[in-house]
Amino acid sequence: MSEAMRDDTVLDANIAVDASGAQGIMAPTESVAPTRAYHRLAQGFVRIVPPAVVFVLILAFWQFGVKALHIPIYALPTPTDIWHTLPTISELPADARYTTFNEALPGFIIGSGLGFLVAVIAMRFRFVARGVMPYAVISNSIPIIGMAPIAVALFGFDWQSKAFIVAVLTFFPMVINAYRGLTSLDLLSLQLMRSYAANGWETFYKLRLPSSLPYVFNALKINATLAMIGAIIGEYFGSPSVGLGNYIHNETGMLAMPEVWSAVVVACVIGISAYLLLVALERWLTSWHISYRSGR
Amino acid sequence: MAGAVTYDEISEFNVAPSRGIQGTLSRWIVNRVLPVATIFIFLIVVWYGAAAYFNWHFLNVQSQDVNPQAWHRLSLAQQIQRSLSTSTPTLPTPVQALGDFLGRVEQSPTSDTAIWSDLLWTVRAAVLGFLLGTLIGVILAVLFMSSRILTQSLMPYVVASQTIPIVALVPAIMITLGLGLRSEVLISAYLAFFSITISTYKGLQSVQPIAFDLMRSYAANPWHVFFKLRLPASLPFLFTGLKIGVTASLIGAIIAEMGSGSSRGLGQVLVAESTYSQNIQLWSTMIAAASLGLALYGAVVIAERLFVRWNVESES
Repeated sequence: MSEAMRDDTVLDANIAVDASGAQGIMAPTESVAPTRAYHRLAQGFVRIVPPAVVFVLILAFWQFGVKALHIPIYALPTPTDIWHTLPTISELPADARYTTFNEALPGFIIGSGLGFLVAVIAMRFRFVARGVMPYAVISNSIPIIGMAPIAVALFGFDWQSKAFIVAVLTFFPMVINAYRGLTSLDLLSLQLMRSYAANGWETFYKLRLPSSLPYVFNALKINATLAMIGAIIGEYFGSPSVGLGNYIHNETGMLAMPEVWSAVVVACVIGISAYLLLVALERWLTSWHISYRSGR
Repeated sequence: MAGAVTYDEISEFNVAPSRGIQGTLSRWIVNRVLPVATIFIFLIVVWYGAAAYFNWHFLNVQSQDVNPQAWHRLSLAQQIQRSLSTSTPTLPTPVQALGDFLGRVEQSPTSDTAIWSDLLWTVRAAVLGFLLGTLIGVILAVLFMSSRILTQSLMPYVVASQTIPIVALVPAIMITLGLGLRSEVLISAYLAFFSITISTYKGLQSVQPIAFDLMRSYAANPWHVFFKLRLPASLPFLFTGLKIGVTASLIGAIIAEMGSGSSRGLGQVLVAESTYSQNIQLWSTMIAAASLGLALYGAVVIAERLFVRWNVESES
């Protein structure tokens, strides 16, 4: 996303040599054959233990801080309050399902899909690229989320308005990233395809599409968060009395903070799960990519 | 570029000859102005089409209650014309939205309906949040640079912090910290710090090994290495992060105002206008928010030009 800000380089240097720019390159790991299993174990240990320690510290600090400072439960509940409240809320699963699958997911698919389509058209027709990309770049510095009430005014309280605002939010990151991915190619690969007498479709399908995947996944990861934000914000402006945002809004009004925080936890779990799902999907689809090749 | 022979070649727009000032000008018009203007006209046409559709639909339904005969006596062209000029549109036309925006800008700042006081409130929250976010972002980046264990233990949370929907947290934060500027600034900083941390961290590590060797040959101490080498080297990266962060901080301020029920700021204006179905005003507030976003972004770009003189990219 940061790189995409420089639209001129994106537009004019149609072929950049650095195809791994979206990911960065991991440091090669020095693993000697006999001790490889041990090394893996040690690496996993190093990756998991320090964050886990921090997690426990944060929870302990929160728990005992609230107790020690006598912060009332309507201001800030303790983690154990939330832990006990969370399973008792019967409507939370339905709310989470509605926000995720009826609002965020359709918008995410429409926005990302249209974004990719526009990126392909922009790749194919330079005129479209020159016309569309400046707007896509400008959209980066505009708080599009402000259009949430406009979406509700246009499409009503139901899921359509949330899907619309989510689609608008997720459209531009995909256009920028996918266009960058589709056009930053290794010159050698293009020449190789030419020497095979590959036609435009083959070049697209076998070269451009695979090499754009790291960029596309970058956009998808950004969009997953935007989708949840868009859906929840949209519900603040009216919803058919279902959904996470609606629940949070109502419970805040009644100062039922353990309930609010429970919903927050659910929203966080959904956000992080979506992110991890995309990371796993990316690993599976782009296992050829340089950033995953090390250590094998 | 010469070797790029896929079907980009087929779509290569006919570029005017590039000789002299005239050539440069016509090339600029053909390559830059014409495509952007075409898309602009396309968007305006789509906007008017959508406005006609939504407003016609609304008037049609409404007329069933009020006076169906009068409405149906109109020709379709008259119906569409009325749809585009109604004073209570579902989707206002660009001219209505822009006219309302200009009207609100022209009003004196003390007037009730003027947008200035809310605009300034949001600017204050966003700028303070941006500054706080920059401070946190840079401090985290320096910590990450200097300690591997800190990077390993905190980096997952820095990444996770951006995957959770912050809006869900807004009401909770508002209750805990109280309504008002403080909570808004905090949420704004929360959204802003991430890109600044990541890009500064990258920048601090972007120094070439040979430069370290040079510093060592000067017998420079770690402070000198940091202030004379790493910090200047990280500035272009820092500004890349700042450009993303400044928009994020504005989004954070608006989200905080929307979710909080506080009484001021653009986010709260949007909530009020949504409640009263003031659709023209919704769009003109959105224009204000967009202009604010562009202005803040522009300010960071200007700062970048001032501070990062040696960066080739910012000069070109």
